[in-house]
Amino acid sequence: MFRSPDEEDRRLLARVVRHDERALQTLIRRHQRLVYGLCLNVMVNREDAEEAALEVFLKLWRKAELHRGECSVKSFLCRIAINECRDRLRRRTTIIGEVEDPGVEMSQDRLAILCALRNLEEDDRMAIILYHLDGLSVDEAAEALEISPGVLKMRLVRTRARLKVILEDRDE
Amino acid sequence: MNDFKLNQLLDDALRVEETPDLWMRISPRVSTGLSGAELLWAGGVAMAVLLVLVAMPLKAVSVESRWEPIAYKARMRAHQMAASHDKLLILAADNGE
Repeated sequence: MFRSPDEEDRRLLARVVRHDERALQTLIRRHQRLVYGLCLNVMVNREDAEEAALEVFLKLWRKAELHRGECSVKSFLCRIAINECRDRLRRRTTIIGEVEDPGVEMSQDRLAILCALRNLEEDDRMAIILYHLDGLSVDEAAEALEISPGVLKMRLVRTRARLKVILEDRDE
Repeated sequence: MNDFKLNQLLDDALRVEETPDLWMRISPRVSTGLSGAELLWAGGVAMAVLLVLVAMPLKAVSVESRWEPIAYKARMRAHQMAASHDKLLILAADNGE
């Protein structure tokens, strides 16, 4: 029988609620790229991102029953990841606006974009990151941010305009 | 800079090249339901219990060896008493009693 990816996720999540480790393993393998990617782009540092992503799945294991079915499992995971990264950023002592050593070689363009993202408001930065992550639709990104797709699109337009200004100022 | 160029830059900048295997790191904590620190504690307690279990038979041996001479003396005394009792019986039989 054919199931959509989200139906499959929900079926797996129901098993995770009953503490089925195999189901958790499958869910992690399906979504670790998305969750780790989100954490990496918010935290920038690879080590911090891995720790945050691990904590996301541990929270899913402990509190899977908090998913009431109102959003997709992917959005639910992104919500947990966003909150986890926000908590960790709050605890971090690095000055905002700086990009700490990411532990990986980066092109100048990439570094410029990451620095520019650091200059954005947190909500705007999250919107851009979620929209550009592989495997997340606009609706799912909006669900993760707990806003409507229309609000997300407006936020993206406004944020892109701001990013352009930051990047052009930097080039001059 | 146009929107297309910016989108392309963002796609490239936010792309994740490699993902670590999170299940490998998470499975021990999920299987036991313990955090890293709790696992360390549990490991320490298990080691302590193991040490006690190993030490107990050694202690038992040393207790046994301490009581061994006393037990030996008691056995010898019992043999002597039995032997002298037998002798008395033999003497009594010889005397026709």
